[in-house]
Parts: sequence; C-alpha cells; structure tokens
Amino acid sequence: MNRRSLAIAILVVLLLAIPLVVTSTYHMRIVNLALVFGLLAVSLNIVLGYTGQVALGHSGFFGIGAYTAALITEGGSGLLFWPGFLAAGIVTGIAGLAIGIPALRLRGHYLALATLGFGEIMRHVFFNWREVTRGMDGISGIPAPSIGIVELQGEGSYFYLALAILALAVLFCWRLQASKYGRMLAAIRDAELAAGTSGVNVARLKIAAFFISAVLAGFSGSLYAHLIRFISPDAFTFFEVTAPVLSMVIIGGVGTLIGPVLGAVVLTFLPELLRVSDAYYQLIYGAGLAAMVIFLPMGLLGALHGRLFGLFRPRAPASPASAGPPPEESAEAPDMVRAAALLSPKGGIGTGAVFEARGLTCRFGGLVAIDALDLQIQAGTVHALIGPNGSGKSTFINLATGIYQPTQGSIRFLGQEVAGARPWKVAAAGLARTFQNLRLFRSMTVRGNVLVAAVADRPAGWFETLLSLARSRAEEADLHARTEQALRLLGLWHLRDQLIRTLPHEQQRLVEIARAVAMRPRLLMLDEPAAGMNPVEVERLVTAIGRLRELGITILLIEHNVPLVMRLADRVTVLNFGRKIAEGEPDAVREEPEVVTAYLGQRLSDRLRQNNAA
Amino acid sequence: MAQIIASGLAMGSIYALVGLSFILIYNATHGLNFAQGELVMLGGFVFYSAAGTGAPYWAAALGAVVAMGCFGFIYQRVLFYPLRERPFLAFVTATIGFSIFARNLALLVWGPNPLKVPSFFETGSVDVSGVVLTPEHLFIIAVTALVLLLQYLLFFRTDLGRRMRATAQNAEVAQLMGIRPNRMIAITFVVAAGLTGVAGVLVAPIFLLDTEIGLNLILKAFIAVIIGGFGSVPGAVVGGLIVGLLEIFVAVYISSVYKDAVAFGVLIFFLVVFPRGIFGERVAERV
Repeated sequence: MNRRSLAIAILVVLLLAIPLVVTSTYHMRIVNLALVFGLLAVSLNIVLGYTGQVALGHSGFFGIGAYTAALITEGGSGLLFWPGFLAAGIVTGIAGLAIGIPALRLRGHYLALATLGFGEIMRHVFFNWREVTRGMDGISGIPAPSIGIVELQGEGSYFYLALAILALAVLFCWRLQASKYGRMLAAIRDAELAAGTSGVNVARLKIAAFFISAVLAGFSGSLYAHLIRFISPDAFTFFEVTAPVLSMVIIGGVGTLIGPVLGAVVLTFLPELLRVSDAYYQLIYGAGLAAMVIFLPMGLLGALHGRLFGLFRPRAPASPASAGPPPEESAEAPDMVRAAALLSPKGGIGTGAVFEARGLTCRFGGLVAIDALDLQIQAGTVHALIGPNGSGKSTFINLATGIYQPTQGSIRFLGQEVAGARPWKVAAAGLARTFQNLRLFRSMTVRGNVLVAAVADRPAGWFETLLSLARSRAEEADLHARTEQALRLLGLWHLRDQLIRTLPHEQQRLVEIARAVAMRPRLLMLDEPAAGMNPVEVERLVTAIGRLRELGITILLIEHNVPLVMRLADRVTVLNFGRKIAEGEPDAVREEPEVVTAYLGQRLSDRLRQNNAA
Repeated sequence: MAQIIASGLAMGSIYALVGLSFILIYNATHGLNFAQGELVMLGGFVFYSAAGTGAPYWAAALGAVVAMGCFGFIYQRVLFYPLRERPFLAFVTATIGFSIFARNLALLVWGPNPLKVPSFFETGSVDVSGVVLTPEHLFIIAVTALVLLLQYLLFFRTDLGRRMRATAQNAEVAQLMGIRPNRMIAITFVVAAGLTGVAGVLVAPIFLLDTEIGLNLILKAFIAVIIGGFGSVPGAVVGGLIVGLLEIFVAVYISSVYKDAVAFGVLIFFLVVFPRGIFGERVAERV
C-alpha cells in the first residue's frame, strides 16, 4: 500500500468517525450542509473547471431539484426519498439539456449572463408560481430519508447517506477526469476550435457536461430539501446559492477533483470559526473571497499542493519545467514498420481525387475571400497551395474543415459532401489540419495533446469508459500505442511528459502535426508549418513530412517558403484574391507570368522579364 | 400612457447609466464588473448621508458623485489591477466578493430598514399641456441626457477621450504610441464609478434605498447591454431605455409579478437568437 492509498484510507476512517465525535446536533447539521454544498460545488466544477464554461445558473438547478423532491415526498414516508431523489436528478437533467443546447452558441461572458438569467427566471418561478410552489409560504413536511426499514432520523444517519452520495459523485468525477472524455473536455476548455478539428464532438460533450452537472445539482437540491425539511424561494437566489458555490469552487481549486469539496467545507465552517454576527461574517467573507482570488490563483488546493502526504498532488508531473533540461532525442529514426501498422490512414490511402472543391465561394460581408474555386487533390500526393498574404489560403482550409460555412459551392471528400459539416464530422471522415497560429491544449502535456486526437479501432462508450471495463482499458492501451508512434514519428517522444507551454515554437508546431497524424487522416492540411522556423528546423520538418508521405497520408501544404514548396510538392495551386491563377507542376507554375506578377507586382515582374530576355 | 412612457424612460435612464458604466469598464479591460449595482447603491447611500448633514441638495449630489469617482480609483487599484492578466472569471469572482462586502457594509452602516431620500421637488406633479407627469421622472431623463452628452464630448472631443478609446481598442499598440494604458484604465474606472454615483443620486428619491437594489440594477443592466449589443456604448443606452419601457409595459398590461421573469426571458431570447444585439460586436470567434 503506497502513501497515497494509506492517506486515503486514513481520511475515510476519519470521515466515518465524524458523527461519533461530533455530538451536537447543531454542528452535525453544519457538517451535513457542507456535504450538500460540496456536491453542488462538484457539480458546478464539471462545467466550470473541466469544460471551462462559465455558468452562473446553479441556483436554478439546485432549486429545481429541491422543489421536485419536496413536491414528491411532502407529507409522505421517508421511503419516498428515493423516487424523489431520482426524479430530482431527471427533472434537473432535462432543465440542463434545455439550457445546454441553446448555450452551445454562447461562449465566455455571454454564457455567464445567459445562465445567470436562467437562475433569476427560476427564482421568479419559485416565488410566483403559487399553485405549485406555494410562493413565499414554502413547502414543509418533507420527510427524513429512509432506507427500507431503517428511518434515517437524526443528523448522524443523514450524514452517512450524504457522504455516500458525495463520495460516489467524487468517484464519478475521478473516472471522468481520467478518461478520454475528461481529456476531451479539457481540450474544449483549452482550445475549442482545435478540439473540434481534432475530432472531439464539441457540441455533444458540452451538452453532456451540462447534463451531468445539472443532474448532480438536482441530487444536491434533493438532499438539501430532506436535510432542512422545509424549502422556500429565499433559499435559491444568486447570493444564497450561486455566489457561495462559485466561491467554493474557486477557493478550493477550479478543475481539481476534491478542491470544490474542500472549498465547501471551509466556507460552511468559516462562520462558526469566526463567531460573529451574520453581517460581519458576510463582510469578511466578501472581502476574503476577493482576497483569495487575488492572492491564491490556484485555490486552496494549489496552496496545499505537495503537502498533506501528497494526497492533493495531481498524478501528472506538475512542473517538469523545473526538472532540468529534457533528455536529448535519440538519433535513431522511428520504426516505420510499427508506425505504418498503427498510423496508416484509416480506410486506406485511396486512389484518384480524394478531395474535390467545386465552385467554392466564401464571402464575408462585401469581401470575397474565395471566389468560385475548383480544386482537386490526388491521393498520395503533396499538393501545395500558395499565394500572397490575404489570397484566401487559410480561408480555404477553414472551409474544408468545417470552421467556416461556404456561401456557395461543394466540397467532396472521399465522395462525401463535407461543405458546411461540423469540424468533428470532417475530422471523423479523415481530414486533419494544423493551425497557422498554434492552437494547442495548453494545460496538457505533449502526450495529452496527441491522445485527445488519437483514434482507436474499437472505441468504448460512456458506460464502459466510466466503469473502466475491459473494452475501455483496451481502447486506452490502443490510444497510447498510437500516440507513442505519432510522437516518435515527429521526434517528440523524449518530450512526452513536458507541458506544452514550456516547449519552443518549433516543437509546438511539430506537436500540432503529431496530433493531426494520430487521427490517422487520409488527408492532412498543413497551414504554414514552416512559419517562424530557422533552416535547421525546416530540414527537420522536411524529414517529418517525408515520413507522413511514407505512411500514405495525402498532404495539402500551405506555405510561404517557396523553395520548400518546390522541394516537396508534386503539384502546386496558386491563389490570388480568392481565385486560382495557376496550377500544375512546381517548375511550370514558377514560370507563369501571372504568378510572378502576383508575388512581385506588375513593375518588378516586367523588369524581371526584361532582364531574363536580355 | 404618456405617464407610463415617462416613468419607463426614467427607469430606463437609470439602467442606461448602469449599463453604460459597465460597458465602459468592459471595453477598457474586458472585465465584467458584477458589483456595478452595488456601486450605485453606495452612491445612493452616500447621497442620503450627505443630504442628511443639511448641505444643499446640489452639493450633496455633487459630493456623492465625486466620492464615487474617487472610490472608482481605489476599486480599480485593489480589485482590477492585480487580476488584469488572469482569466475573466477571476475578476468576476472578485467583484462578486466585493458586492457581498458592499451590501453588508451598507447594512452595518445604514441599517436594514429602507431609507427614504426626500424628493428634489416640492410639487408632486407637473402639467405638460394637459398630461400630468412626475417631475422626478423628467429630471432623471434630463440629467441622464446631459450626462450622456458630457460623456460623448469627453470621448469624442477631447484628447484624453481619444487616448481612452485607443486603449480600449488595443492597449498594446496604444502603449507603443506613448499612452499609459494603466492610467487610462484607472480614469475609465473613475468615470464609470462617477456615472454609478449619478445613477445612485437619481434613483434614491424614486426608490426606497436598501441594500438589495444593486442586484436588480446590475441584472437589468446586463439585459440592457445584451439587447443593445455587448461592447456598444450607444447600445447600452438604447438597451437601457428598452428595458425600462419593456418592464413598465409588461407590469401594466401583462403581469406585474412576472415582469422580471419576462425581462430575463428577453435576455435569453436575445442571447440565443440575436446575440449581437442591436449594435453589437461579432460573437463568432476569429480564426
């Protein structure tokens, strides 16, 4: 038994002993409140911490859960707790979907204000829908929960029930965070666009996060109703619920596993420790909250990091930057046979035109960024797309990968229409990309970045993944194997445990390529991969692109480095002002007068022609 | 009818001032100040105390506005400056902390009972060509219009205003042009807090002052800025007036208990269907 499990075992024993030690009913009530709010904080953390979506409507979910449970169990037996509990989860889950689906369109402060509005609407509903909620009179006569023949009268027995439910919720979060879904949520939090183009179904996962969070909030609402045994609209306001729970998550540690619970315990007990009147306590609490945010950016858990027997230490190495320089890359070339086995394009290399755009047009207001473009990419080639700045190259990639919607025209990829499809659908079809201005998952390691995009042959579902069944474990092993090959292929394996933000620019670019390769794409679009690289780094890039070719990946290369294009490309298309002005073999295209003019301007190109003639 | 419109516009003017001050801070810093409503509340209470000393009304009002402006400087120094490099949630949480602090400070200083600030005017109503209007409402509308005019002159007719706008648009480039962004941001906070002081002075005589008014005001200001278009200054003003009118028409013709719920319904409708609002910024992320 290692220190970590020992520490957890001791913690469990201490927790179980609480009702035996705390004899006052009053204090037990506070302990129980801390558990209820701990569950609510865990729920908020899934949306706020794991997914990075600022939601401020948890008072609404909490209230819906409490009212649902109260209306079902009111005046009845304690056994009704269970159907009430489940119903609270289901009803708030539905409310979570009702908020989560429209909220997909919103980000940042828009989402914050929309969810705040939802919380306020629910407050008005609790207050004014008297026929159901009894308005200010509230609902009383909510029974104590009962398990079969055992009536859980008293704070002590309630404690074990609430603790068990909270422990299950934390366990669930632990599995979630450690699973592929946890990685995907973190990817959405760090770089939503890149998550989408890496194959993460952003819409589905965000809705799932809202749903899970709402269900847990509903459970905690139900627990609250059965603890206090009376509810009224006053208990479900922004300042009574949302602000404190937000504080618990922030003070405890956003995105950590047990930080929110820790925050809930601290904030629930603080008034007892301070022993001042409520107004003075609130005064200190308000100022303290602001001070905590300012002085403890990582929350209490961050401040406790590495102390208390390593109980709070995250599994992943936290600051490899301080661990000295990384080991040098081994000079040996990657094992291409193994790489080919694990990273060859899913569904084969294909033949003929894998990609075909027809009459593709994209307008932004009055600006025509892409104008009736026809473009074919042949399987197994490196096709370069060049042109002056602003000629529409990046817009083309954005159209092809589902980030922009074309105004007109069609894009067929492997015979399937992908114009206007969502980025993750395009990614799943086998089209990967990199970004000109890097979009990596900044909170993760190099390996984590690539793992997000890796595609297994037999993906496991939610159920198998969260329970870590055989199929899910096999999938993880598969994903790790493919990730390893992708990193070896790009010469990044020695950097696998480095945090992405500690790497120099060139290596970050290579991680983006490794991430794309792990998707086992049939077509890979590289958006200025050599930008900002020195000649030595460009040589390494050429080697890497050569290896991708060897695997059979078709490549579309956008690049300003013309010598590089001439070396790598089988075929070149030149864009200017969104139109195709030339296409053909690299050497032929280089001589085209219109291409020279586009790059050099009319005067210089005329002079060049005169000089050449002379 | 004219009365309803006048009182809607008067309330809307208050929302417009709060929304405007909120948006000024947002444009300068990209921070959401959730305590904007509490600043109005403090302004109102300071005005109440100043008027209670026997000072003339105009002096008390001016004192409250200046006091709030000064407070704006401290506020930005303590709450915003340390958090300027952090994700927006940090500043949001810190301002929520401040609003809890301010509500309870006001509770301790001015007590839990709502306070009545006497009216500026002795007559209860004025007769404008046969329509009976409340002078306070006209006064609020007139003062707000004046303040907006001054605001416009400050931002578009002075060098300071140009520098403030430059900072709001791109602080880094502004810095390269010799502007001190931190100073401009501090001035923006002072102006914004001064505006909340004006709102506090104006709202005190028509509402009973209590520690709860801040939340209602900031929520309405949120609705106003979303309707007007997030980040747009004229949008905040127009949005504020729309919210004021909407609120009173719903209360009179539909349901007075659900007037706030309807307002939030409009908020969510706008966010989901029409997130750019009337004058707003593009919501889609640039690639």
